[in-house]
Amino acid sequence: MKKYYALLLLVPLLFGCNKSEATDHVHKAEMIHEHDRCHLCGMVITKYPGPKGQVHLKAEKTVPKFCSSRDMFNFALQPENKRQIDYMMVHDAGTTDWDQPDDGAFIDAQSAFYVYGTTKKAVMGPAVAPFSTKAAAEAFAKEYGGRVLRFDDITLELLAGDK
Amino acid sequence: MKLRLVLIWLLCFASFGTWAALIRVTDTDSLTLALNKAQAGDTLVLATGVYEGSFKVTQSISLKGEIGATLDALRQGSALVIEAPQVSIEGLNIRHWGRDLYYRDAAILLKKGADNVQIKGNRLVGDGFGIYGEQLNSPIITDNSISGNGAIHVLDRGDGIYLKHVNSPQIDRNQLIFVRDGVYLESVTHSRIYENQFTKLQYGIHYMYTQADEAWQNQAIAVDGGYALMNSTHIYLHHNRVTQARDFGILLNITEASHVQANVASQIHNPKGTVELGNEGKGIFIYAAQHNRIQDNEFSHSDTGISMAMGGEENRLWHNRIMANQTQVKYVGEAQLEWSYQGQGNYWSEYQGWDLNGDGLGDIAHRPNDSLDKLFWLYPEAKLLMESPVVLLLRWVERQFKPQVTSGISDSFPLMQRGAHVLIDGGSR
Repeated sequence: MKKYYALLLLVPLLFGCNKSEATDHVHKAEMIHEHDRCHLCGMVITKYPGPKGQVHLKAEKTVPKFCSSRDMFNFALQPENKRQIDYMMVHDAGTTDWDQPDDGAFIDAQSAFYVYGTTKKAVMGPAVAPFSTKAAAEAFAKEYGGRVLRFDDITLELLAGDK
Repeated sequence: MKLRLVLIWLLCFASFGTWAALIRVTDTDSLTLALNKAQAGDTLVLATGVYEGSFKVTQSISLKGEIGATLDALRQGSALVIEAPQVSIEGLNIRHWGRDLYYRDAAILLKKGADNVQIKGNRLVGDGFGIYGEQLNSPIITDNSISGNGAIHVLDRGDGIYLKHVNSPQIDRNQLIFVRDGVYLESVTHSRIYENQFTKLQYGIHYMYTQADEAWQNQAIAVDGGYALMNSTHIYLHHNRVTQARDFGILLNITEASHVQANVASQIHNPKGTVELGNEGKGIFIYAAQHNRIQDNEFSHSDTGISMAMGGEENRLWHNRIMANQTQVKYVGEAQLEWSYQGQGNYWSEYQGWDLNGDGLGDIAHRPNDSLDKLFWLYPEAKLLMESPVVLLLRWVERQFKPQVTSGISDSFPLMQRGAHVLIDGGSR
């Protein structure tokens, strides 16, 4: 019996390994709490409609969150921030409510499709509406206007251009 | 024909009589009764005492409190609900209204169409909104003291004054403390806000989707931010002060064609902020805002004096005093910007040039940042090298050779004198 106790000591090691592997590859979203304020504009994030965003940094534990995917890009595209970013998450407007997006619907920003120039209102300027599939983005653009863009198409010039 | 005219005249006279009615009430029941029976033009005088419950004003009447007259909502709902135009509320104490922000619990709740209300000289102490109004015109809110509950998280408090879809409000000489925003305006036009005091709250004035507003000679102390201009146009913000704020003195965000003049933002400091995260205290923070004029302001003794993100380039800055900030200017963008207008720049406390021709302007252009600043912003991990001899040498070399400027801020006409540091009477436009 006694020798089995020694085996128990190994159990935490097993979990330890699994955990570090998982965090290396899986992009995890943080919840947005009712007291969270937009890292850029300072507003209470959940007070206003539209898909939100969050930026996970390489060196910082804090995860800046944003009132809109637009403000997330406004932050992430600044030259001093670009280099510090590990990954970004945005609400999938195709699978969650526009006015009160659910935090279960966060998707990776890099692989998302975006509709820009839509009549749907978010906050802090025209919405940058993220979708997990091209089909969903196209359907949305058909209904509410706007054009479908990829992650790399979203630039500060674009955001500054047509307000 | 003549008889009919006389009759009409008599009717008018009769109603004139009722306009003048002065009714004095002394307890909750007589107040409720008087509010039910009151005719337009009546004045209800509330004797000293406590009136419990929630009261509704449905006629164009005046409510006046004798010293110590107090409405107590027993911590439920709003204390006073105004449903008629031309109502006047003066000299009341109001306390213990509810704290449910979803149901708009307020000391004074203005319903749609409650136009031309006058709220003057009242003392409001409670958890929810101080004054809340939607879809109405020309309220006048003067000389009130509005205090929230400092024990509640700042974001769970009501705003001192919250107005949405309101035209031409006048808000002056109020004192606001321990609320969320001092004055929150959404989809408002032509507001005039002056001589108010904001202490220990989120933002002094928060503009959201507003147009053609003016604010002057307000003071904000120990707040998160002084004056936040968001999604707004044609705001004239002048002669206001903000000191000891944490996040910003003035924020210009998606705001256009506004004029920010002769304001003072000093001691804006975030003890938990870092430049890497971009959440240090900023005298003025400009991003995604264009075609604004920023002149005659003082930005001093803060973590960062002026912080401009990319997308904030198209603004005109001159005659400002940028003094003794830890970082005078932060701008990391690629553009090359000139901060002066008609041959007049800004006053920079660190400027070391000469004025040999005595025209009051420095003889060489001032560049608040050298290329090494930008390097450290882009590569914060190199920060430990900042004070190293090599970096000091590089900085010295750069100063000696005035290299070709390709990006960043320059001021070709830096002012030698800091100019008159006075708050001139603002007045209206």
